[in-house]
Amino acid sequence: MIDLEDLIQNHQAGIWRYLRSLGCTQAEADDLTQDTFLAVLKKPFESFGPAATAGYLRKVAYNRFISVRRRMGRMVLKEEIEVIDQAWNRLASDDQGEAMLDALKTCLGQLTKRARWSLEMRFRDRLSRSEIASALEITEHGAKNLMQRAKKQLKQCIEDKAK
Amino acid sequence: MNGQPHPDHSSDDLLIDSLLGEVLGGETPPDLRDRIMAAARQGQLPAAMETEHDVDGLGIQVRANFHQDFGASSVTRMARRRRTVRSETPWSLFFVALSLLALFTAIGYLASLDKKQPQVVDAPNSPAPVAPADSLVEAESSTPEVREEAPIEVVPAPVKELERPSLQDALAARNEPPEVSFGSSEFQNSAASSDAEVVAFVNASLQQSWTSEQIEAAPLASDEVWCDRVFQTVLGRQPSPEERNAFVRTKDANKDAKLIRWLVNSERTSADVQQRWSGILASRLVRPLRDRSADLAAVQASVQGWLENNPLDQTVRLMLTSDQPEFVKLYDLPTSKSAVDLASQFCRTILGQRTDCAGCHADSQRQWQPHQVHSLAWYFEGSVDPSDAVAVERRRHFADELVQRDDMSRVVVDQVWRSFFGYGFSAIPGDLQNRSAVSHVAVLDRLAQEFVASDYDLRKLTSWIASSRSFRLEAGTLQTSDVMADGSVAFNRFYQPNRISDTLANSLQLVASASKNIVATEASSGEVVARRDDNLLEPNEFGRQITNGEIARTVSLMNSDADRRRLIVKLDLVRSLASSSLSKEDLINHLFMEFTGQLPSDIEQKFATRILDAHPDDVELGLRDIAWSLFNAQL
Repeated sequence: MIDLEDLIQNHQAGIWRYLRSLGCTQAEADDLTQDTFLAVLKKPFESFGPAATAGYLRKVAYNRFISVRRRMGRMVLKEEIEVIDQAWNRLASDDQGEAMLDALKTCLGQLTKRARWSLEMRFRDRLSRSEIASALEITEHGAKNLMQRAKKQLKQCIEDKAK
Repeated sequence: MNGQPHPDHSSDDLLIDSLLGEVLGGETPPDLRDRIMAAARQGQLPAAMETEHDVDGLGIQVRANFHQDFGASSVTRMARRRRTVRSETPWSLFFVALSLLALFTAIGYLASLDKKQPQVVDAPNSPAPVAPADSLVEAESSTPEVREEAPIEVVPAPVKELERPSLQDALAARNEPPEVSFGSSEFQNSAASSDAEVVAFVNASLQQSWTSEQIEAAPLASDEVWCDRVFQTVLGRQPSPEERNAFVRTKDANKDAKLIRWLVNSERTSADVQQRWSGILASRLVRPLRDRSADLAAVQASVQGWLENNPLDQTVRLMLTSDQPEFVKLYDLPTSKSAVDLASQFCRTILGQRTDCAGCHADSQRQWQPHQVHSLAWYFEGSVDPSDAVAVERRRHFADELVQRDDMSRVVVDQVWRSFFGYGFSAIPGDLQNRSAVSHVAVLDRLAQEFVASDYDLRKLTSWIASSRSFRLEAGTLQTSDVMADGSVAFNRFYQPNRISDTLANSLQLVASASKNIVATEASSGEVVARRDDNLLEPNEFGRQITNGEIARTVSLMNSDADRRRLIVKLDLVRSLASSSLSKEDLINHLFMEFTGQLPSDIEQKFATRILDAHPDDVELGLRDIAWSLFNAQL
């Protein structure tokens, strides 16, 4: 018999991060994480190991996410979500995404100064693209390209580290 | 910090974005254990379980309460089923079919028995009782005889509703106080440093933050200017010409320190000092606890009397436990308020801990959990009558819990600092628990620690802040260059008030009068004045009409670079609120709680609603205008 409290303790961060990566807001991720564990409480399962449990919980969370989005009448691009799902299975099997975060921290150091600044302004300072463009003295389109290239580099770097 | 996905992102971006949000944006997964366990205890079903749906993605429709209807023993174990389905052979399918046949046969028997026997309802999760086949046959053969001789009419037993006491009732009935932590009390054990050491630490710490953010400090203010400033701040009055001249003409290198010592310690100034600080205590600590029409004069007179003979912690204790009518009224709850509301207000004003959000929903940025917030009601159950010994004892217990906490001294330091500079360390007045929204934490903590070590001596605290380098610098209005990356104020100069409204209501009314959006259109002051809504020409709360000049100045100030930069860190909240399904009233309440730490009064609510009404098609613009007007008021 699985202890619910232990289950929450060991997997809540991973599920929350997974839901955030699907595009949930923080509040949505909070609610859906709760829903996921309540669903497991209502329908217990047998554990075959941390990775299998994490994968199963992600599947439940995924279905809750789809269900809620559909109820809200919002379009869900399943192909995109499946790509994210595969990435999670590949990069974060049972460590709640910690290794991915560690890899990202290292990979950020490998970006050019301007690329890193652009991401810091976007995610830390919450500046708009036009504000970032003006701070870096480039066009808005240039700022967009710079950030997209930086993210692509980060993704590749994380993949390489996971191999 | 409620990040929204950006609209132009590919699927790769979503994953990287969420990771960047955590690494760079400071988002962290919340601890939802208590919340989930509480929901589980209450038997709360997940929202999506109310209808049929595909739970495990295998295309199998499962009713959420399947196991409740048929007993836990028949619940399909999802993970096991997943494995079994994949490895099934034709033989295993044959056995499954055979098992199903046996199951349906057994259900048929049970259904026929149901017509003759009172229904037995199994407790959830208890295994379904399975009788041996022989005993079922015996029961089948014996029952008809009984029915023929004495037909029994089966009447379903009336369903008795369980009278479960509410959580608050259950907690109030306890004799022991709730197990709630109000925070640490580590400062109580610290040793006091010398005044010079404290001031040196404050100066060095602020200097360090200026250096790391490449912020330039303003030059020193002239002796005349500083003398006027220190008199005004400490005593609440300007110096006489003789006092000013005496200070300016003195050549002593330590004349600043000597003047401060004289101001806070002299017999001549003691009444002024006590009056000033009792006024601050009454307005900053007591006023939010009560209606705006509270008799603050009576409260202030009592506080001033206590301050004469007691350090601040004892004064706060007396404020919380006094049986004087103006203080007893603090506990006299209006019908719209609950004991939890009252406890939350005390926690916010005395400890700087925001519990009110957690009372309704999980609050990941603060430590309080919903069940902890509700348990606070224990302290305020009972009568406000001073003769109710149990109620008085519980309030005394509450006061003891609060005044020994480090957070109380942090709140006092924050309020005193705010009274010096116009800006405090906390972005939201009365919210120090969300440490990510508190600036210059080292300075705040050191001053709070020394304040406790000096036995809560307000004179010492006053002299440390008055002796700081920031207080000695030239004055100016808040500039973009004075705002740090996290949106907090650098204190690299002394700030002159840059606000044109004394009250929130006035500020909101000014914005409401300017009609359509001020912020988003970034219209010029002249354009906004030209478009002002003449239907709103009613007198403001001071009994005079709002002028075009006031509106023009408001537009100009609200669009200043400094305020724009301060608002940027709050835009996510505004966007998140705008995309929610909250009512107008709740939207305004949430915005007020985030910006001011208190709910709006009726008049503030009225003008804020008008601002929202001016943007019927775009709630976000209305919320941004309200947010600007909250910045525009001197809180």
